This record gives sequence, C-alpha cells and structure tokens, in this order.
Amino acid sequence: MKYVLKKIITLIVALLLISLIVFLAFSVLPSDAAIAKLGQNATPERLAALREQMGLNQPVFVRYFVWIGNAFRGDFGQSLQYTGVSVNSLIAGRLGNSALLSLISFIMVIVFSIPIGIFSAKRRTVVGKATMTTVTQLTMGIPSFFLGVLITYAFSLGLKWFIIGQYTPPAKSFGAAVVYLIFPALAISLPKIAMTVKFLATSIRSELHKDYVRTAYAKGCTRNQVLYGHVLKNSMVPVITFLGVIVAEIVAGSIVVEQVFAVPGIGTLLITAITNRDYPVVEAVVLLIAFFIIAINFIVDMIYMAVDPRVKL
Amino acid sequence: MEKLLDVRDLKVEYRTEERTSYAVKGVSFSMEKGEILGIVGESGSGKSTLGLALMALLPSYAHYTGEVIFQGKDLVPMSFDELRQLKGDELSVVFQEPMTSLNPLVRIGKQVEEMLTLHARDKDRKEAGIRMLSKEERKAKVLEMLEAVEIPEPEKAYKKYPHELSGGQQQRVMIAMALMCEPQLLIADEPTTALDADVQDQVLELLKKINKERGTSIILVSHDLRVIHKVCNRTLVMYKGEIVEQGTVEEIFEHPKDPYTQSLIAAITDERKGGKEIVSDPALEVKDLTVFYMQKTNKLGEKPKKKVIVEHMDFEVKKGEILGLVGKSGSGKSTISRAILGLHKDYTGEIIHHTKRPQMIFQDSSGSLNPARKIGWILEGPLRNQTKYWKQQKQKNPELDISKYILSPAERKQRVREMLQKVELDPDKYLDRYPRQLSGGQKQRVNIALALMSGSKFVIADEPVSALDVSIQEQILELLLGLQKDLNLSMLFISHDQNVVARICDRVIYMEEWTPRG
Repeated sequence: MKYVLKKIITLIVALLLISLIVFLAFSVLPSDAAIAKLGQNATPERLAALREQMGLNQPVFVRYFVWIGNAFRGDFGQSLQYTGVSVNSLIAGRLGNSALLSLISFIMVIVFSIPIGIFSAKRRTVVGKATMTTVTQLTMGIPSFFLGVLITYAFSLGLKWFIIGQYTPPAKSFGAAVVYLIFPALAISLPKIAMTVKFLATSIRSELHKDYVRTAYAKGCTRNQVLYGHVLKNSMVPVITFLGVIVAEIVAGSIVVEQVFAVPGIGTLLITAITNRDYPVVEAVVLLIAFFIIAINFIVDMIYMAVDPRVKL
Repeated sequence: MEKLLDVRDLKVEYRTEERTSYAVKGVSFSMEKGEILGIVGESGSGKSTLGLALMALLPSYAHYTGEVIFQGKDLVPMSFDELRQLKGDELSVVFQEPMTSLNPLVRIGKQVEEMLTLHARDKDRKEAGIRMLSKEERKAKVLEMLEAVEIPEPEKAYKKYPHELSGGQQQRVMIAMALMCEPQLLIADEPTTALDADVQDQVLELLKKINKERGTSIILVSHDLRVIHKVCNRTLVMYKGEIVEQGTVEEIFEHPKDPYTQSLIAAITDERKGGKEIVSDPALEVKDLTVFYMQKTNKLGEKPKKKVIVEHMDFEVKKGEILGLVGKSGSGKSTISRAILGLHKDYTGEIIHHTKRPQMIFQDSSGSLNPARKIGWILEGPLRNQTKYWKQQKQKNPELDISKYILSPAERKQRVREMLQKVELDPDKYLDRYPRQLSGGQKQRVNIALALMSGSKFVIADEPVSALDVSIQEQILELLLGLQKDLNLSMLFISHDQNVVARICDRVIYMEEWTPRG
C-alpha cells in the first residue's frame, strides 16, 4: 500500500515538472502560435489582436497556472492551430490509432523475440553464433524511421501489399487497420526484437550455469524440461524490466514512424502541434505519454513481484 | 552383502581449449548395499569430481573412461536418456549449497513433487504397471517425506519459497527431494559445509537415520575428517586425483598408513594449546561495549531502527595472548572487529588500545591484495605511508629529527625481504610475483606479512584460515603461532570453527554470551 502511495506521488510530481518544462520551453522558443497562424509577413497589429484573442500576451506563469487549473479538471483547453477544436477531442480522435500501433509493435516483440531468444541460446555452433550476432547487430543499428522508408519501398511500392497513406481507422474496419499497421509496427519493433533476443539469450545462457540447473538434471529432467520448466522463468526475470524499457521506446519510436507511414496518430499530432507552436496540444500529448510510461513502470514492478517471490516492494 | 557399486579404473579429465587436466586419475573401489562410504580430501583432490562423475553431472567438457557398474549395469557408456531415467530415481544427489541448488522461483512442494511426475512418466515404469499418482496422492507423499526429514510444519513449508527457509531446512528439502523416489544410492557432496555448526550435526544425524531406516546407501563427500568420522562406515582418502588409502573409518583413524592421511589426522587430533594462563598487561581493553547498526527504512517519515549486535561486552586481550572469539555466522564477530579498528562508529562503551594501531588479517586472502601490483610493492605500502607521514610532520615542524623514520627504497626492500622470510616465503621468488600467481595459502602468508609490516604488536585475525584447505590451514596456524611467539604478538582470533580456535588460542570467549535474545 505504501508502495502504491509512493508511486502515485511520484506520478503527480513528475507530471507537474514535465508540464512546467514544456511550458517554459515554449516561452523561450522564437515565434509563437500567432506567428505560426498568420505567417511571417503579418502586420504587428493583427498579431497583437490575435495574441490578445488567444491569451498569449499574458505572462507565462499566469498562463501556466490557468492552464494547470483547468487541466486538473480534465479540460486541456482549445487548440491554437485548429480554431474551436478542443484538445481533448483532437487527442481522442487519434489515440486509438497510436494505441493500436504500439500494441501491435509490442505483441510482435514478444511473439518473435522469446522463441528466437530461446533458439539462439540453445544453438551455439560457431556459424550460428556469427550469423545471429551479425543479424542482431545490423537490425539494432538501423534507425526505425529509415527502416520505415525501406519497408514502404519494399512492401508498398514494390510488392504493393498495402497502399501508403490509405489508412482505415479501426472504428471503420478493425481488420484493415491492423493489416495497415503491421508495416509501421514492423519498422518500430524489428530493432527491439533484435535487442530482446540478445538480452534473453544472454540471460538464459547465464542461468544455465546456475546450481539449480544442475539439481534439475540430477532429478532426471530432460533438456527441454530443464529449459522450459526451470530456466525460462528465471531468465525472464531481468527480461521483464527490459521489456518495460522497450515499451517506452516503442511509444517514443512510434512518433516518428507514424509520420513516415502517414498514420493519423498522437505522434503526427505532436509533430504538427510543435511546428505550429500549439502548446496546449503539445502539453496534453507529452503528459499523456509521460503518464503512460510511468504507468508501465508501475505495471512492470507489479509483474516483477508476481514472478519473483524474493522481491518485496 | 551385495555389491551396489563397482568402480574400475575411472578417469575423469577436463578438456578445455587451452589444456587438459586430469581430475580423477584412475580410481577403483566398490561399495556394498546399505553402506555409508566417505570420500575425503582437500579441494582439488578430485573428491567432488568423483562424486558427481558417478551421476554424470559434470560439465560437458569433462570426459570419462573406465567402468562405473551400478546394480550390474555400466553407467559410463549409457546415453543421456538412459542415465536421465536413473537420475533422481535410483541415484540421487544432495549438493553443498542448498540455497542456490533449489530453484528460487518455485515453491518447495512443487520442487519436491516434480520427482514423482518425472519418474512416474518414464516409459519402462509405466510398462511395469506403475500407474501415475493423482495430484492428491502426490501431495500426500511429499508431505510425508517433508515430515520424515524433520521439517517443522510440512503443510506450511510446502507452500514456501526456498528463500523463506533457513539453510538447514533448505538442505532438508534437498534431502527430501533426493529421497522421493526411494533411490538405491544417495551421493551427498559436502552437504553440511555451508551450514552452521549446530545445524551440521542435525543434518548428519538425519543422513544416518535415513541410512538406518530406509537402507539407502550413501556416499558422503567431505573435506572434513570429523564429518566422515561421525557418519561413515568406510572411507576413501583422495589426494591429487588418486585414492591414497581406503578402509574402515576405525582403521584409517587409528592406523593411517599413507603420509597424507597421517597429516590429515594429525591436524585434527593435534594437542590443544590452551590451559596456561598468561599474566601480563592488557593490550586491548573492551568495556561495556554495545555495538549496533542503524537500519535504514524505506518508509516515509520513519526513523531508522537500531539493531543491536552485541550488548555490554567486556573483555581484554593481554600482551602476548591469543584470544579466540567464537560465534556463528551472522553473530556479529566481524562487526566487533570493525568497531575495534575504528571502522564501525555505532557503538557505546569503551575500547582502549594499549598498543599501536592494530592490524587486520582477513578471510578472503585474494580480495585484500591489489591484483595489479607485485607482492614487493604491496608489502612496501605501510613503509611508504610511514615515510610520507613523517615527511608531512617535518613540514609542519622543521625541527623534528625524522632521519630514523625515513627509509630509503633499498632499506624498504630489505625490510620486505626480511618479512617474507619470516612468513616462510622465498623473497627471491615472490617479490616480483602478482597475487594471482600465488596459491590461497601463499596469499594468506602475504597478508600476514602485510599486517606485521608496520611493526604492529596487535593483530586481529578474522577467520584467517577458513577459506583454506585443511592441510594448508594447519601450516598457516603453525606460522601464526610461531610468529606470535617470536614477536610476542597479541592477537584477537575470530572464527566460527571451534577446533581451529582450540588449536591456537590461549583463551576463548563466545559471542552468544553477549548477543541480545529474541
């Protein structure tokens, strides 16, 4: 219980700090929402009038406290770039796409990296080792957005398995959305799969030298019983923490990859909002991502405790 | 009696890329049903390799030749799967480290129960008409076995994880697991070495009881002759991969033939020191000492808790005396030595030194030597510091005559050579060696030299021999006794081992007298 309380306090403090930093960052940036909207050539009178209308001429701290007060009530204000549209509705329209993309990416990481990790821990021939290392190093080294470009080139332009830019939201057709999102998810998850495979294989190999493995053999377990019945669970313990980091990276990675694949998600929203100096939207999106990542941390701790009885929080 | 095991010319070698080493060099022995056979020897003698080789539990780079005939069948040429069916079923093993030998993430009950599911599933057993046990039957059998190995509250222990049990109880669980399928032969590899002294005896008694009540034959591998003496009928003595002697325990103890066996027995039956009272001034006085720790808590707003290690401790070490301080692991022996040295500040009471700053000899002989430096450089350390100190004093007070404290590099080297001779290491050979090139015993000699380098007359030795082999232990103890006499040292000798303490100390005090109860 103490632990939960502590986590909640951390969450609130972190969110407050993050929101303040974003606000301050926007106040030191040259240009603002009014300039972004009217263009560089606008007359000073029109700019002043628009700033008055948007509430931008008030000091930054006043704006911050007004904003945070509303945010506590769940009202994140109006977007500055889309007049008359609330931030909440902007996010609501895109959150589903991003969540689905991250989920598919994460599932791909789990589904591919655990069997491949086990396989690569088992096969230790010289050729196998060299191939494995080359493939994982290569995949880890390619940035997601570049991988995205390659995938678009190969599967959209070459094989024509999907048409880039023609995304169907899950609300219309869930199946079509999933099929389209598999490709950006591939771009996000491939490097993560390589990392997880490497991490899991190392973890398994180090567990194989432990005393309890010798005990398992002494009990008369077959090699597979030793591996799946004893070693795997133990070697997953560090992997759980690692996967928590991977989830955070998937969310961060999806921001850019959404852009490459023209998926109307949170990432795309964030990037246009930054270019247009639409600080209410940026604030809300950043807080949402931060909240998600802290929540993931919490969930990881919970799973960790459930798996390893020695851990007490 | 019927022959259970017949080992003929068994050789085990470890082949790695760099070299091949022979761990067991062609041993032959046999064992009868219902016997408790000891295998004794120091580490590196091949005794554990031999024990584990019988169960084919050695790592993959171990290679075997010879015959291990168990119940009429040779185990050496058997396939992994044939052997697997015997393992745990006919042949069982109990390891040295019960904590790490149990799977940390699986409940005790399940780990013991696994034996039943593993071996009831084997094909030939099914054909022989042994049916699978139901879940309830299995649980009942496990509980019965936990009770048989004297685990208190088996129902509760069934649901516990290994880390929730004490070391002794973990070892009982290991034994329960090993006995689950009623094996013909139980191999116990140093089963009590990792346990506290009083628990050791209980576990040994349990092994004897199992042998008597169930007729299980036991091979007990140990470095400790006393353990062998307590439990075994017959024993093999191993040295450098060979059996140097075998016979009944009485024969071996009363008429050891081999010189190595003789030295082993001499080490444990040697005349004890003690008895003679030393009258002199105290070198160290400890008055009403209470040592405690401040335990940090993670909870917000809670004050650190005070954990008392010892209360109201009074003792003194006289000049020229070796005082033994005996206690179980975790009883705070080392904390007290740290308090005496001034490394642990949380105490009340008085610690009065009548000699120059005491020096320390640690258990871990390699950890206390800088691995990147040569022995000569390490031993010069205290002298260099001394020179530095007096030079600093000179700067503060230019009138001071420091010439007698300042040693030239040549003089320092000479002092180091003399000290190495005192600890019986050849200076020409060892000055330029690195710590890793030394054996455990040699490293401990260097540590002793290091402690004496600054001319200190008071030494705290914290388990100085417990990491060493029996025969080496004996040499180090001889050395300490000799040095103590020659230099008239005072010594506080900390150990968990009653026998070592009795061998070397003039007087012994026990930690239990001062540890807070409850």
